[in-house]
Amino acid sequence: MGLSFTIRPKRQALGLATGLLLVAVTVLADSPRDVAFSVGEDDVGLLHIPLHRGDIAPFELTVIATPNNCETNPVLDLSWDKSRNIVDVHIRGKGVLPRYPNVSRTEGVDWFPNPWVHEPKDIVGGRHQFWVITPGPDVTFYYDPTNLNLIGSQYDFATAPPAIPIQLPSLLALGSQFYQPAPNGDVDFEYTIPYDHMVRGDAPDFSHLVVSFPPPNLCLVDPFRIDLSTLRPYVSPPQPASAALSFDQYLQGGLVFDWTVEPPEYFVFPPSVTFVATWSNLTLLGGGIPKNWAFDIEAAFMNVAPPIRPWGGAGSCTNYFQDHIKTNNFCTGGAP
Amino acid sequence: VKHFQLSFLCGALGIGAVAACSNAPPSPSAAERLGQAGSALGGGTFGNFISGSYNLQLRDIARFEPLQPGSDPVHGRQLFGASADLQTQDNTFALFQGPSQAFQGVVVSNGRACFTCHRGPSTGFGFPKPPLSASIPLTDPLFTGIDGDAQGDPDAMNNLDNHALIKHRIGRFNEARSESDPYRQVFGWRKSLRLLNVAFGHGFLTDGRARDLFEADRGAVFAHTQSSDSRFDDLFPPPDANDMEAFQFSAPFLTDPQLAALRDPTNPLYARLVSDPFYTVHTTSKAQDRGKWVFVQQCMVCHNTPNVFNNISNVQALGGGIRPITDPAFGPPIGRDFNVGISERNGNNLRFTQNLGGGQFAPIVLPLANEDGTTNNLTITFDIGLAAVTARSEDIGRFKVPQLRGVVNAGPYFHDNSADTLEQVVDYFNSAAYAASKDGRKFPVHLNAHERADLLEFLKVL
Repeated sequence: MGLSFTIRPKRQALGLATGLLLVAVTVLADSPRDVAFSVGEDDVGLLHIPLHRGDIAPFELTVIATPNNCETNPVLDLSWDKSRNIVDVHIRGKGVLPRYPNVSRTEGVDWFPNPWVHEPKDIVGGRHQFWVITPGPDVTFYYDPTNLNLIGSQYDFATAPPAIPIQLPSLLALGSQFYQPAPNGDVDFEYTIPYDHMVRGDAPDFSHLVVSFPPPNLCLVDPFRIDLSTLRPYVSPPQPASAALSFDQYLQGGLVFDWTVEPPEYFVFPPSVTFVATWSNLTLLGGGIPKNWAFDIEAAFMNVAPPIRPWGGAGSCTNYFQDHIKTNNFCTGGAP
Repeated sequence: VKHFQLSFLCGALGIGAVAACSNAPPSPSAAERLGQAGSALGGGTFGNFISGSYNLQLRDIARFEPLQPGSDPVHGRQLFGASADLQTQDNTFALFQGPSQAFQGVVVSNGRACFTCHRGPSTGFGFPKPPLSASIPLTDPLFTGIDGDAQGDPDAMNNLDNHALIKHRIGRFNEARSESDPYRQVFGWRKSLRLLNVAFGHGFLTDGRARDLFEADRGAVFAHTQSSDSRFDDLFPPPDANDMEAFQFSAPFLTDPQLAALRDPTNPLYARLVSDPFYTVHTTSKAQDRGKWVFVQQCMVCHNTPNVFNNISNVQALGGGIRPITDPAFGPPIGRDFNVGISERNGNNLRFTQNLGGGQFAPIVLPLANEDGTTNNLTITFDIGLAAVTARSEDIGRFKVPQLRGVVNAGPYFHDNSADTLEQVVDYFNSAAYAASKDGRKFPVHLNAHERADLLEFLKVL
């Protein structure tokens, strides 16, 4: 005797997903706020996740201090519905963001000039921008064959230059419109994005930025020892709206969330992003990142475990800089 | 209102879901209730609370790691070290050795190949039953190369020969951490997994830490074929790994040739295999039929991949041009592991302290992340499973749910080979020890004598 199981029609599955949303909303009433959960499917669903300082601290990022001695954190509710062509982003928190933030950095200490990141060293009277990020395709970077310096990526040349091509993983980052918290730092920021056409909130003519971490010179990298190598941020020009992805592509790739501090006016146009941030987390890694721990980007790049480490900035409420300038030169046997 | 909604949901879900709902604990937390409801929903919908490294985008859908285009199973067999008839080891192309830039020297093989520990169809591509020396000569590279795994550990030969267990130092090749870092020292004694139906894995190795077979195979080559802690990635390039994967996903590794359709949604048989979880299981007695219903009610909450019976929850697999194998996302794991208390039981009374040499041992203290962000400095006294990979306390003791086809021939059982017979396995899941385990509390099993007997009859034909 065989058991017969029937595949449920799509319509019924959606109905059940909606039912789960109701269950989620109801059971959360007696759940801790700082617990992440997700429910749904690619077409309709929601994600609830706390954001923490330092969860995502890529190379050369400054995580600034936040109000209330950094002790309160925001939570993100992300919901999506393909049939309504909507992705809703809603971040709430009590006293979690500085209003008109000021950021002062010191060259050679917590800021290093980088021709591939167009950001000011200091920010006065800044504003906040929220980013939804997902892994992107490998990007081709080009290196001068004579001095091995990085000369750009596929996004900087209409045709491939006579250079050494290197392929590296990338992230695609999509910014919101700009935001200021209430005078007491409270945040209740909600915006929507078209599900089928994920474009920037502040500049809908553009879609995602392409972010990667190439070595500035091939002598500074050992592909088998990223921990000993110098990798530096690279940010492409924003891609046109015609290159916008749909939300299911973000969802299937895994999500990263980051809230940056931007200058009061565009530093460059088309707009880019700074490496100054406050709150972050991700679904890219199983379980997200607990408070006071950080995604170990070196471990991820080297494909070794564990993928998290205690965050170096935990336990204090000061600006924290994630250095990654190394002195090893692998063309000279690893000596500086 | 909450109970009404959950009951309504459970009632709407069908037989598999009824099993999950009827097995709900008396007073689960809100998180557990939602997680169970999400798991029961199936049909590709996810519903997950953060619990250790459980991914927020796990989905219950039959999709599996795709083969890389152009991969060659014949070359993969040669690299695997299996002769053409799969009966003996052939090292002609199977030794990973020679000059290596990553190794910064010359890698010298100890003579082991994949076949050394996955010894052909007669063993389900695993080990024979222990003691291994009863069927494998002590001159075999399995024994002569033992320091590849054990690096002088005095317990290694006994554990290998008498328990068929290999020492796995999980973070051994993480050169970004110092040699003294506890994450490079922590280890487990684990079986050589039978590779039958490995094509349906969601994560590979006993703890599911390898996101694709490339990662699993590469780690095995590093760990078992030489004795140092240095990697030699350049001797194991992705094209070779793709070929080895094609071999291990091929027909000799399937318990039923029809199962190949489960990897291909365009195959007309795919929908049937998904909709009828027992389509390829053939019972011949009333006891076996009754046992099947016991299995549905008591076992399929976790063993729920149709016709394979590992766990179906997964995130989008790497490879196949869909997600590059260099993608750091989702790792690890990409499936759902469970803690059923076997690690804590430590049934073979294994030692988990660090061997300092000269008869000296030291405790390993591992800093693990609690979900509230605090640190749990855990002194290791048993195999902590997935936590050694993820650094999450919630993952302590979690291991992958094994596939169950041909389970009658798969003993000894569990990751530590601590149960010799199927009867012992069933009795464990029917015990207070299981009921007290982390996932036993969520998914209790209660069998009376008749149900136990019927279930065993069914398992013998599974």
